[in-house]
Amino acid sequence: MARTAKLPEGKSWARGWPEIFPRVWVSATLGVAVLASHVAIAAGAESFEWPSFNTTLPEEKQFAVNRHYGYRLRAYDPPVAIKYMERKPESYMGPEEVLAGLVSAKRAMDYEWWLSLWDASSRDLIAERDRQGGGSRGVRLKAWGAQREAGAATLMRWVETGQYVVLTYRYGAANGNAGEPPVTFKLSGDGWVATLDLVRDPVIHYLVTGQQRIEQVIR
Amino acid sequence: MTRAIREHSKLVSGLLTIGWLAIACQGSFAQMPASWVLPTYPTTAPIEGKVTVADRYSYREQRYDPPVKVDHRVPKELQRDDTPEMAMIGRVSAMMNQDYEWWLSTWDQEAQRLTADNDRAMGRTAAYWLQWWDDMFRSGTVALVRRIETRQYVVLTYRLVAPSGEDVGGGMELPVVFRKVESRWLATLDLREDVLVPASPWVSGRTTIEEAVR
Repeated sequence: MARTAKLPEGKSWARGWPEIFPRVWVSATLGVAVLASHVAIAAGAESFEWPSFNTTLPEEKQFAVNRHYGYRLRAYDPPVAIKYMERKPESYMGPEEVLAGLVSAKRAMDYEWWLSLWDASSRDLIAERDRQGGGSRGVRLKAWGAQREAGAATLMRWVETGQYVVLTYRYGAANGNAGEPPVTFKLSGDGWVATLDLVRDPVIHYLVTGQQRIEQVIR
Repeated sequence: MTRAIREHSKLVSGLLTIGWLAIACQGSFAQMPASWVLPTYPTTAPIEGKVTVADRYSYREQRYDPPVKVDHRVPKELQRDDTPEMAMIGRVSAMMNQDYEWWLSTWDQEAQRLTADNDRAMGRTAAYWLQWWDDMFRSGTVALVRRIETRQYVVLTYRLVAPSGEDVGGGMELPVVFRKVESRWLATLDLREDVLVPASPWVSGRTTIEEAVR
């Protein structure tokens, strides 16, 4: 491979050495350097000969890391109308029951019930958002009020990914244009709970957008 | 094998863990474990799929030709850090001179803090580093092998070599990452959670690694 002169070559921004100086500047620089070294020796300072850094020509290269997130998806067939609970039950048997609890709490406009169905770290995150948003709780309650008008909630998809189960549901007709929000659940020491663990997860991104490949330029 | 080389081995194995794990994991996503929980209501047959996040890194690679042996130390008062190479020579000189404070000053501020925190957690003092460097430079010296530029960072790689040029570091090529802080090139730990440096594609020759997250 062809060799360059001393670093740097090409259009690299991380230049270590002056590129090209007019000869007059080279002569002047050398003169000053020689004078400086004489002064340094006279003053008793040590000297040091910096090595040359000859390199091969720069090669532009690419590297990719493909991270894969597996999932197993089932569509409810037919879609299942979620049965509203009249009151907060003692326990929840599975993710579908916790989701029924969430939509029931929303329908009842019971914020504390709704909050109790999330795991501890998600509750902290929700509280933090509420503090930062300065009224997120009020915004949620207002949205829940609107959802009551939108009709029954319907279970649409069951998705497993790692230790999580993600359920999607929608308000109104199963074939309507309404969105199909995903909610993630996990089994904790206290049984099934909703969680925000996957709030920025690629599988959630896929369920919302249908996009199975996400390209990111890191550098 | 000297203690320094053993320490190097540990460091490299730590750095490369992510890369090797990722390589070892490839293909495992092809077969998902059986469902451990099932829906209550009727559903269609399950469909297995995967979502792929492709992280792209660009870098510019140059090899020192010949490798630059740092076999004599720059006096502290003549040290320079206006290029990554000079900063590296100063850093190696600090180690050869057993000057812990000088060595610490070659890191950026965040790396200095992380090093101090890590040393405290591990119960290490300056004496630990001095002993390590003493062992390391008894077996050989540093030879710069490659210069990698990736956005604002410059990674210099080196090997431990004997005066004859023979590798005495177990064939390992270690990275040191630099970034420019104002006019100074300083070593940094900014890329400690980055995939590119531990994967070291310039050493492995790989252009892609596959990682099964779940």
